[in-house]
Order: sequence, then structure tokens, then C-alpha cells
Amino acid sequence: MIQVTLLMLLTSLAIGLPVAAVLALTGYVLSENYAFIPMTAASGELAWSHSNDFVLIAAPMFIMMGELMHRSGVSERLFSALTPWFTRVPGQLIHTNIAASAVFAATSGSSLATAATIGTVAIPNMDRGGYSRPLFLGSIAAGGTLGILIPPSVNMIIYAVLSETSVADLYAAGFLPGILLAVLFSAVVVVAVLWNPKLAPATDFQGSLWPARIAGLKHLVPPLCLFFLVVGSIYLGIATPTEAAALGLVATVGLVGLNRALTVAVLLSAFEGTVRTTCMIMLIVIAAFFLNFVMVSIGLVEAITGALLSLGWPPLAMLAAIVVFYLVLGCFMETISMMIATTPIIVPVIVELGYSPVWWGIVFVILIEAALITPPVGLNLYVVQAVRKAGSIADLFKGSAPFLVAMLLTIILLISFPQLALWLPTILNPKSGPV
Amino acid sequence: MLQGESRFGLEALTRRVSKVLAWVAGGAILFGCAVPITIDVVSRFFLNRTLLESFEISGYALAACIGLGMGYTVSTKANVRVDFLTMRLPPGIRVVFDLVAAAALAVVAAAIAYFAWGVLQQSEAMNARSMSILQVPLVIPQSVWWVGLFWFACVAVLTPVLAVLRLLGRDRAGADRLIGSTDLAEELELIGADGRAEKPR
Repeated sequence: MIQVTLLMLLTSLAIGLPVAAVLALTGYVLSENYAFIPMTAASGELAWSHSNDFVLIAAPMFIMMGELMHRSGVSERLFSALTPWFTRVPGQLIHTNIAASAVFAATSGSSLATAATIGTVAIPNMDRGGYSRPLFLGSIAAGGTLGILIPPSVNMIIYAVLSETSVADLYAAGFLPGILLAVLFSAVVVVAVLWNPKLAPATDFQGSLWPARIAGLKHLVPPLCLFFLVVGSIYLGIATPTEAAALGLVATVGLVGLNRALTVAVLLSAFEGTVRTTCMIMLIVIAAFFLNFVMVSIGLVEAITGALLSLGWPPLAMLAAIVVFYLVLGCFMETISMMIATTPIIVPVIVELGYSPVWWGIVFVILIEAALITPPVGLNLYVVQAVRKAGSIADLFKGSAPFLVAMLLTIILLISFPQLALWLPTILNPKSGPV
Repeated sequence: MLQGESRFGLEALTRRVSKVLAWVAGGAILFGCAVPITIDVVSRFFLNRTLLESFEISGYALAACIGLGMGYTVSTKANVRVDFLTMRLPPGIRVVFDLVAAAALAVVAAAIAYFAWGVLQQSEAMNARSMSILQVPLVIPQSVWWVGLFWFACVAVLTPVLAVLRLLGRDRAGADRLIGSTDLAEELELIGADGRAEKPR
């Protein structure tokens, strides 16, 4: 049964069927062949109940927030406000890219929106400043991936629904690893530039930077206010994650309005982008719930967990194998569909191995970030390349590789010190108990 | 890019309708979810009671968004495919895989619309109402949801048919626009990452 399923899934994916269709059709075939009663009869109810899931409502609202932020003009001011802070750090604007991505990520739940937004503002400075193109572009592609690790995060909402974990726990768990990863990205740049000073202009600026630093602080206020509204309201107990998303979206509309960028055209194009992404995701989610429903009913999930555990590998070896599996799969598969399709199967295994599903959610999101910058199907690489509009994509392949090392290091640190992820949730949500 | 001159009035009409429905679907998220939920959170904070039943309303708004917006994923080729291998095939063979993929989506879309119709009919037969103060007859939100999914099925079935007609008319580019892999420029234009998107003031 396992072999049949695996063969069917892989073949139909490889010949390029839409992922949602692959999942739904596999579910149908399994139900016809192995179930005692046809499961398809329940699919309508399944589709309806997930179509109005209150937790999932947060996803389109965060997507729309990103769509609007991208069009709001916030990022240009953010970029210029952060620049003087890094003028004396080897690598200069490359650190601004990473820091601006991290701050923008704190208001956006999407990696693509983050990379596109920061890329638009940053790339004109690349040749003007005499930076190494691969490293500069790589920092934008990699920095953009922070969008899904630093809360809010669309991916975490969907993971929470599929794995039955709490969005609030996941957000709290993602915060420190997100900061850590951003710092490691910067460390990579400093090491690279010290190693080869030609990668970035010399840091010989004379005079005081403080007036510019202080003057820029006011531009950090709007994104940070949004972050505290969206994330703070959850941990102060004022709002659930879905309610926080609603507050964030309404505030974003207000912010875009204050910047005089709120037109009917902007609103409609944000609607289009939001609906396109949301419905694409939801079709896969509904198909995955149907497949999972069939797989649980016919005992397939148990069989897979059993088969993997009967290998008798120590948990750490099994975990390493799963990490490698995702690194490889991530090279070829679009990330959100990879996450939705595999979460229901992999999370039971992780839990059986004795790991926390919240902790795994964070490791998983970092693996997805890695997938976003690994060729040939790393979408962030193509987003940055498209914003740049010239030159070779090979610059991006080359330039994002060092940042991949930082991601792997973060995963190793998370495996060695799970508290990096699990400490904040226990402090912030004591009611939910150990996670 | 997507609105290229079309000999097929039907094709342009399908795109147009899907796009307008996507606007409605997006409006449902902003005005049906975000605004009512915000009103409730604020009133709960200051008045200690909620004014709207936003918990329930927003669920129906999401369902409306998902139903009404689903057709737009077909007309903008948003449904993710692992086309890494098929993209390397010669165009003449690749188009076969594209057709099979479009047909598979059509089958799934038709099945979803069919089973959703079952849900709607059952709610009507049982006169089902939501278990809340509002006691909304479930037929109302489910009808909106179903109408959208029915349109989704129509677009999904029509798309491969139109593509075959294009191919018969020796218009491979036209067929590609309907069912081919999303080309990167199209994709990025749609997510607003074409570098022109950000226009402050």
C-alpha cells in the first residue's frame, strides 16, 4: 500500500499534474481500492468545514497585508533609515538589506513579498556602491526568506491548522530563531568581506553618523507599530492570531491611506494577488485534508509511521534523514505545496520520535526558507532576478549559497538547543503548557 | 500580458468574469473578515462585549472568497505544478503533458462542485441553521460558495477545450497561454514583483 501510494504520488507529480489534483486523485484511488466504505461522500463536508475555518482566515488577511505593504512606499523609508547604522560595518548596505528584510518580515507573512519589496529598493544601490553582485543579491534573496520565520507568517498558520498546533506558540517559537538567523546572515557577510575586501566598498566614512541614525528612527515607527499590534495583541491576550491579523490588515489599509497610496487600482490589484495566492493554497489544503482523511481511515499514516520507526534508527539519525529529504525535495518542489502535502505524514513521525511539533514547525519553516533559495526551483532567487531585470541568474545561485550555510547552522543549533524555539512560547503562553 | 487579442470571445469573457469574481472575493476578505473582526475586537476591549457576530460572519466570508476566487486560479494558471521535468521536453510533447494536467484539474474541479452541491442540497433538505445566535440558514453562505465552485468547474473544463481549439487552429502560443507552465514574467507581474509595483506617493 505504501509503495503504491508513493509511486502514484511521485509519478503524477513528475509528469506535471497540478499538486492539488495529484493529492485529490491519489485520495480517490486509495479510497476506491482500500477503504471499506467510499470516502468521497465525505469530501463535500470536508471542503465546506475547511472553507470556513476560523484559524485559516488569518492566512488571506496576512497575504493581503503583504500585498498592500509592498505597494505602500514604507520600505524605501525603512531602507534609508537603516542605512546609517551599518555604514561602519564591513559589508555596509548588504547588512541594510538583511536588517530591512527582518523588519519588513515582522509586518509581512510572505517571503516573496519581502524579497520583492526590499529588492526593488536595494538593487539600484548595488552597482552605484560597487558591491559584489552575487553577495549583494544573495543577501536580498536570503533576507527575504525571513518573512515566513519572523512572525507573522502565512506558512505557520497553515502548518498550525494541518498539525493541530497553536499559531500563538509557533509565532513565539519563531521569533528568536528568526533574529538568530538574521544575525548569522550578517556574520556570513562580515566574514566574507573580511576575507575578500573587494566584495564591498571600504568603510572609511569619517564624521558622526548619529544625527542621521536618530533622524531615521521615525521611519521605523510604522512597521514596528504594526508588528506590536499584530504580535503584541496576541500575547497581551487581547486578540487571537486571526483577530490580530484582522487588526493588522485594517491598520495596514490605514497606513497605506496615510501615505496617499490607497487608490481603487491598488486595492483591486491587492485583491487579485491575495485571492490568487489564497485560493491556490486553499485548493491544495482541501485536497490534502481529503487525502489525509482517506489515509488515516485506511491506516496508511500509521503504516508509514510504523515502517519508518521499525527501521530502528536513533531519533537523531531519523531526524537528519528527514532534514536531508526536505533539502532535496525543496530543490524541485514549490514550497507551500511541499509543506501542505507532507505535514500530515511527517508530523506523526516527528512526535513519535519524541520531538515537539511546535519545535519541528520552526525547523520545517527554516527548511522551507532553504528551499526558497536553492536552485533550480528556488522562487526567491527568481523574484530578485526579476526585480533586477539584467545579468545572469547564476549570480544569485552563487550568492545565496553562503546564506544557506547560515540556515543549516541554525537548524543544527535548534536541534542541539531546542529551547531556542521553545523557551519563548512557555514564557508567553504559560496556559498552553509544555509544547 | 494575459489580455492578448483573442479570436475567442469566450476566452476573454471567462477571464473577465473570473477577475471580477476575484475582486468580490478579495472584498470579502477585507470587508467580510478584517473589518467586522476588528470592530468586534475593539468593542470587546472597550465595551466588554462584541457588536457583531464576526466569528461566524468571517467564516462565511472566507468560504465565499474561496469559492468565488477559485476560478481565477485557473485563468491565471496559479495552480502549482512540478514542471521542472516537463519544461525540458520539446514543445510538441510538452503540450500533451500540459493538456493532461489541465484535464486532471478539470476532473477535480468538477468533482468538488458536484460534492459541494451535495452539501448544499443536504442543508436545504434538513433546513440546517448555524448553531449560534444568528441561526443563519446554511443554504445562504453555502449557495455563494457553491456558485463560485460551479464557476471554477466551468473554467477548469473550458480551459483544456479552448486549448485544443487553439491547437487545432495551429496557435500553439495561444494554447500555451491557456495551459502552459506559467512563464516567469507573467508570474512576477501577477505578484507585483516586476519592479514597477512600488510607487510611493
